[in-house]
Amino acid sequence: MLKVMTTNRFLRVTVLCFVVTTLSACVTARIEEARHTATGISKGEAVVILTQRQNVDYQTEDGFLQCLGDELKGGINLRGEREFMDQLFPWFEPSHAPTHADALRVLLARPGVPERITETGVRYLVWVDGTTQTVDGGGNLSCTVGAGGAGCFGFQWWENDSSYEAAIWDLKSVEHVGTISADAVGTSYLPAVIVPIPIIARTKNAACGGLAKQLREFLVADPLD
Amino acid sequence: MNMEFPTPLIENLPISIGVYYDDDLRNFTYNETVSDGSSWTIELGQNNTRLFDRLFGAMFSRTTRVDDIENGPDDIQAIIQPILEEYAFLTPNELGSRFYAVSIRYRLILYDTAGTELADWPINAYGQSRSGIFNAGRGKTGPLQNATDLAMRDAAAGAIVSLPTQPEILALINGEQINAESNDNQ
Repeated sequence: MLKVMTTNRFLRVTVLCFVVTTLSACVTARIEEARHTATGISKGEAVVILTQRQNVDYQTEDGFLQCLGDELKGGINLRGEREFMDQLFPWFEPSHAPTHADALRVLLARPGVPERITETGVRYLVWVDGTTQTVDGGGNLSCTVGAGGAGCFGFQWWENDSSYEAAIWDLKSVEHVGTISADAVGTSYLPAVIVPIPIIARTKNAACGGLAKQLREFLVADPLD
Repeated sequence: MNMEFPTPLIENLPISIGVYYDDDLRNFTYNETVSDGSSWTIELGQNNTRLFDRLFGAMFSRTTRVDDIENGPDDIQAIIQPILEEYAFLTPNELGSRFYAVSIRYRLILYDTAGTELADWPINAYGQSRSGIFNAGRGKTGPLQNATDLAMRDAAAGAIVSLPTQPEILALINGEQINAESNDNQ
């Protein structure tokens, strides 16, 4: 009898966990691309994703960069940001990194820099900027713990806006070749009747997936297109 | 804190320089109790010497450690002494954000081989690092170390960009005599 009860409880917990982890709210994502010139990447050429790190108020989350890297891995040769910065130290430190194509041309005229970039195999720099913010929210939720057990009651909601931009620089043509932006908005809900059931809008994941897909298409595009 | 710094990708300047580290720089320790009551001790002595060894080693064609600033060896043109004037940090609580922020101010002082001061240059640097869920709070040094590392790298970058354009350095490259009087007149 005890065994049956344990199995039932296990099933209930499993179903509850499944429902909780698979429930997700709607996300509206918009991906925009501005291409300035033809691109393409050959075997042996690599890409490095860099971030702007000078803003005190926000910085692109490491988790987003990790997600972008994971999404791009298959088929695209990625170099690590820190490894690239170390190899070209100090020219990509936050306060000295080139912020426009003219500054990149000046940097590439420095002795040793073009040779080192050739050694790294990096063809494209992808400057990623942006963050995920909670822009609105409301509701009320309270939880209590007593001798008879614990429970929550109420309802909460919040709206997240994940807005990211990737500026792509070609080190071969020394040009800013395009920009891709990803904006994902969604509202998450947390209703609770004894047990809180989060219904999460995964805006960051949507922005990451959309940006990575568009970036991949952008980079591997046939130069003759 | 134990940090490693990459070798700068620069062409060295054709100058033979003596490098002098005083005890304050070699044993630099910063103590602070922040508003949440946590006490921090930051030891930067070894990292200072490691940073400047790496920086000056790449920046000048030849460097020699000197122990006495007033009696430099004959085979050097000048002596440079880095001083750490100020180290400060802010925790996420103090900053009202999710970052640790570090600022460092070094001063590089140039002497002739007899110990007469010829010039000095301030180097202000900054670094910040995000605090994560598992690496924030009391006793967690990861983000602060990372922010300090970034600030020291920023200091090196600042020196690399600014020093080669200084008149005194250009004079040394050209083998010209620099004297304290001309420096005072600037």
